[in-house]
Amino acid sequence: MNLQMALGWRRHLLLHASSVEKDGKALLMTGLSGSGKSTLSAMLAEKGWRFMGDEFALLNPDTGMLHSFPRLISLKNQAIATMQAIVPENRFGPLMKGTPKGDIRHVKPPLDAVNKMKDAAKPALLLFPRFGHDPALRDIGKSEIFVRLTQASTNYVALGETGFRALTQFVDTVPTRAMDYQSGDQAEELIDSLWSKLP
Amino acid sequence: MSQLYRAAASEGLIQHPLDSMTLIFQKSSGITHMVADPVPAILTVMGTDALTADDITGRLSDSYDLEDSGNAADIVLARLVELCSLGLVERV
Repeated sequence: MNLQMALGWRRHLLLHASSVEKDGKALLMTGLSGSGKSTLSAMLAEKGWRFMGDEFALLNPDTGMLHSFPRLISLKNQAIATMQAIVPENRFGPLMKGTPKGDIRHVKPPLDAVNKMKDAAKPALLLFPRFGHDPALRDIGKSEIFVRLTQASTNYVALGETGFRALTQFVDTVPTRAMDYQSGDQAEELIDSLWSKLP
Repeated sequence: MSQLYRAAASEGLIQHPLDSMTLIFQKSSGITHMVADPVPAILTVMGTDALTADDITGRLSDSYDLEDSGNAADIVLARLVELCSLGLVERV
């Protein structure tokens, strides 16, 4: 399903990113595997944010709005215990131990995420999280943001000029930071500090 | 240095400055180029004219404060060769 989505979808610019929404505004998180983007979106979804997706963020090139793609959240290794502490057991699937990616357990997103999946949100903040480092927020140049997002997009090249215009508008208008953290609480504190200063 | 160069038609390109870099989207190929100074300035002063590297250097000198005008023509020529290989400039 993900591969089909990644290769075939042309109506939106696809970003390999997790996203959550609050007050009509979307927070996107993208980064390498292990950055914690999926776990953070799942965690925030239990703390007052609407879960929009942990795999793909769909950017509408005409409106600049972000559309949700909520599906089962794939938790890996220590993220499983983190989420088991805050999510009821009946939302978890079976634990799959010792896969090539380590231990994996899926969790259903909150019902609210599915009920509101047609509600688009305005991209308001982009984070490049990095787990396992002292908590810090760093600015990133627009050139680096652009390059990282082309790497995070599965259909930027296929969309041609439409993708270029959508991505440059995104880079010009959406505040972006790199975020280092060592725990979910630290990440939540950093995100709240940024979110409270948004216009 | 008598070789003439002409920039690709501007309607076929979308230039988008970011920070220290500028994006150039080439509609014909769908390729996004990321370039640094002086490439955007070179393309700007070339306009639609067929020019030598010396002509272009002269136009740059008229429009910008060049820090090291001594080897400016060599730098411009090197960039023109690169731009030709990218299809953003053609030899005439």
